[in-house]
Amino acid sequence: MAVENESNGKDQHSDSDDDITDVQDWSHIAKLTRKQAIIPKRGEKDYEPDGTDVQEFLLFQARQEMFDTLLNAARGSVKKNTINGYYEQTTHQAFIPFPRGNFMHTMGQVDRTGVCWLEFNEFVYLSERGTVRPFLKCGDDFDLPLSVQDLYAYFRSSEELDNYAVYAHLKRLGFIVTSSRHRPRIGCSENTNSTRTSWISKSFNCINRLFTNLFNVPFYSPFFYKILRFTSSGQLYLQLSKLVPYYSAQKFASLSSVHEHVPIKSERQVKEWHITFDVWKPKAGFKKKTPGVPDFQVIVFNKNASSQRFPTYREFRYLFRKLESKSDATSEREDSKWGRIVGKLKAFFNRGYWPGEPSSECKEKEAKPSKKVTQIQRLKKGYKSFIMAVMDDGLISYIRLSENEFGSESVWYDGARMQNKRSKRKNAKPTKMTN
Amino acid sequence: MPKYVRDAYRYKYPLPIHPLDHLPPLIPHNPISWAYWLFCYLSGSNEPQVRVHAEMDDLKRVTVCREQDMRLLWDNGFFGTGRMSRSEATWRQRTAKRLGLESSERGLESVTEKRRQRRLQFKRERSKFEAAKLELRQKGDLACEILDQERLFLRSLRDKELAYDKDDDDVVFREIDHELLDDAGEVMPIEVLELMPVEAIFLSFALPVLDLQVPTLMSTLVSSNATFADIESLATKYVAYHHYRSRGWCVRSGVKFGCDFLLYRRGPPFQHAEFAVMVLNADETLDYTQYSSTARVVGGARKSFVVCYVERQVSERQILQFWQNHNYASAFSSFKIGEVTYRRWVPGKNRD
Repeated sequence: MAVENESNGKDQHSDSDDDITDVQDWSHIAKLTRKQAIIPKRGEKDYEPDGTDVQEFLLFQARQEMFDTLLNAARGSVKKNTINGYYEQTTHQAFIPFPRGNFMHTMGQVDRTGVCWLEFNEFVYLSERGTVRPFLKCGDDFDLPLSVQDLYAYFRSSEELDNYAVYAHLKRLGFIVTSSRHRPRIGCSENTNSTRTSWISKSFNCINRLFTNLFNVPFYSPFFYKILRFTSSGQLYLQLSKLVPYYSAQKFASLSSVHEHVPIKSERQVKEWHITFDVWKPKAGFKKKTPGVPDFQVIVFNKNASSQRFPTYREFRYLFRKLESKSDATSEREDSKWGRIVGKLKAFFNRGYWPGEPSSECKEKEAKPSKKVTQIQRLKKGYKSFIMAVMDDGLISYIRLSENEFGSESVWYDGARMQNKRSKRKNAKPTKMTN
Repeated sequence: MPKYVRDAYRYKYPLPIHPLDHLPPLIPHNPISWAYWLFCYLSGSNEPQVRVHAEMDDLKRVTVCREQDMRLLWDNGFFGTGRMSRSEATWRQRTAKRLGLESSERGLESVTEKRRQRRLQFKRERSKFEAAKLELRQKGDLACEILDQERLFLRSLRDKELAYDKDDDDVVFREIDHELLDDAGEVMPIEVLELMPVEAIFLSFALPVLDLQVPTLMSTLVSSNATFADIESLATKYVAYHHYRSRGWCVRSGVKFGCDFLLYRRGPPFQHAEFAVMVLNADETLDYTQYSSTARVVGGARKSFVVCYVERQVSERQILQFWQNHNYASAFSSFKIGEVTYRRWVPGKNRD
C-alpha cells in the first residue's frame, strides 16, 4: 500500500478539502433508492437468499454503487504537507525531526531540540492515516521507507497489537487517548506497609464480628419474637439486613486514594491489572502536560488469549482502588452538594433581606427528581468505573464495569403504613367538609 | 383512585411476618390510652399463629400444598412458583375458567397466550407474503402494487397484535377433563407451590413461617455429613438472596434470563424486574462469553446486569464447624457481599 495514496481526513490543511467532500458523497445511492421501488428500503432487508437472480442482482447493484463512489474519488495527500517520521528499533519509538500539524496537540512528546517523539502506536496510527511517512532509521545518512505491512511487523507482542487496535478505534472516533503510564500522576502512592495494617484490621474485624454475632444470634432463635416487636416492615427489614456484611463502594473520587486493606490471600495469585489507556472526550483546550483527570480509563482484555482471564472480585477491588477517572455518579453528587450550599445561602439571604419573598428551598424541592428515581439511577450507574475493551479476533466490544453497592440502599415498601396514611387522609377530608 | 389499589391491598405486606400496625393511637395527655397502647403492644406478636406446612422430598424439593398457604406465600412477598403455572399458582382458577365452571377474570397467563396466538397469526401471514413475493420474483416480476398492499396489511396486523382487547373464548370440554373434577364437580387442587432452596431457608431460618426445623431442612438440602464444597454453593446463593431480600427487593429465580436472581422493586404484578443478578464466588472467574451472553439476554429484557460476588471471610474449616453446630447465622455472616455492575459501553454515544 503506497503511503502517498492514503487520505488523511482530519490533519490535513485547507487545500485538500475538495477531495474530502467528494469522498463522502453518497447521493447516488440515495437517488437510486428514491427512483426505483424495487430496492427494499433501508431497514427492511430480505430475510435470506431466495435463490433468484433478481435478488442477487439487486445486491450486486447496491454493492457496486458503494464501490463506485469509493473508487471514482481522487484520494491522496499533498506532498508539501507530508512529514517524515523515523522509527528506531532500539527504543521502539519514532521521532519526527521537524514536527508540525494538529496531531501535536494530543500526541507525542517534544524534547529540548524540537524533535517530536512518538510512541509506537501513535506512529503507526499517524502513518496509517497518511499524516506521517514512515522510515526506518538505518544509519546516519540512509533511511529505508516502510509500508504499513512493515509497521505491523514491528509490533512486539500480540498484546501490543490489541492495544493498538483499541487505540486506533478510539482515536478515529475522535477521543483523546494516551497511554496510561506516561501521564503525570497527582500524588498517588501504592500501599506498601500492608502487613501492619492487615494485622490491625484483622484484630478489628475480629472484634467487629464478635459484636455483630452477638446481635445476630438471638434474632434467629425461636424466642426472638417473644421479646421483640416490630411496628413496621422497615424495622423488620433492618433486623434482617444485619446478617450479611457487604463491601461499600468508594463514593467520592479523592485524589489521595483511600488505602483500604484489600484482603489478598496468599494461596491464590492475584493478577495485577494495569490500566492501558486514559481517555478524554474530544475537547478544545486539552494540554498534554496537564491533562487533568481522564473521562474514562480503558483496560484492554483479549478474550481468547490463554494468559488472560476475566478479573475476579479481588482483582476488581484492586483495580477500583487504582482508578482515577471521575465517575458520573460522584460528579452528580458533588453538584447537588454544591447546589444545596448555594440554595442555603440564597435562602439565608432571602430571609435576611427580603423577608416577604418565598424561600428558594421550596422551588428546589419541585425541581428535584423524586428520591426513588435518583436511587434507581444510582444503583444502575454504580460508582467508580472503568471501561474494558474486549478483543475477540479483531472485533472490539466495550463494557463498562462499575463498583456498586446495594447494601446501603433500602427499597422496601411499607404498604401497611402507606395505607394507614391514605385512610387517615380520607377520613380527614369529610370532617373538614362538614366543618 | 388509581387502578392498582386492589393489588395494593392484596399485596399490602412485603413479608409473611406482619408488623403490629393496628396499635391504637397514643394520646400524650391521656394515661388510659397509654395503658391500652401498652396492652396492645405487649399482647401482640409478630409471630404468625399458624405455620405454613411444607413438605420435602428426596429430590431436595420443598413444596407447599394447601391452597391458603400458597396464597399467603404469594401475597406476602411473592415466594415460590406454582408447578403448573408461570409464577403464581393459578392453575385451578384457569382450569375452572377454561371449563366454564366459574367466571374469574383474566389471569396473566391468558393475556400472554392471547398475545402469542396473535403473534403466530402474524407470522403465518408474513410467510404467506414472503412466498408470494418469491413466486413473483422467480417470474422476474419486480414492481407490483399487490406487495405494497400486503405490506400495509401486515403492518396493521402487527399493530393489532400489540393492542389487547377482551373477547370471549369458547369453552372446550374434552373427555379427559372429567378426570380433573371431583365429586362436587369442582376442579381438584392438584397444583403445589414449589420453593427454591434459598426461599425455604429464608422462610424457616430468617423468618418463622414454614413448619420445618432448620437443621432438618439443611440436612435435606445438603447431606448431614457434608464437606465445605457441598455447602459452599448453597451458602453463597443464600447469602446473596438474604442480602437482597433484607434490602427490600423481591427476589425471584432468574433462570428465565440465564442468571441466578431477578430483583423486583415490589413484585411481579407491579413492575418488571429492574436487575438481574449473577452470583459468583469472589475468586471465581468465568469465560468472557458467559458474562457477555448473559448481559445480552438480560439487556434485551431491559434489565441491568449485576454480578454479585460473595467473599468468604473466615477459613473453610470454621464455616464447616459453624454449620455442623447448627450455628447458621455465624456461618452466613462470615461471607461478605460485593457488587459490580456490567454495562455495554458504546464509544459513539459517550463522546459528548
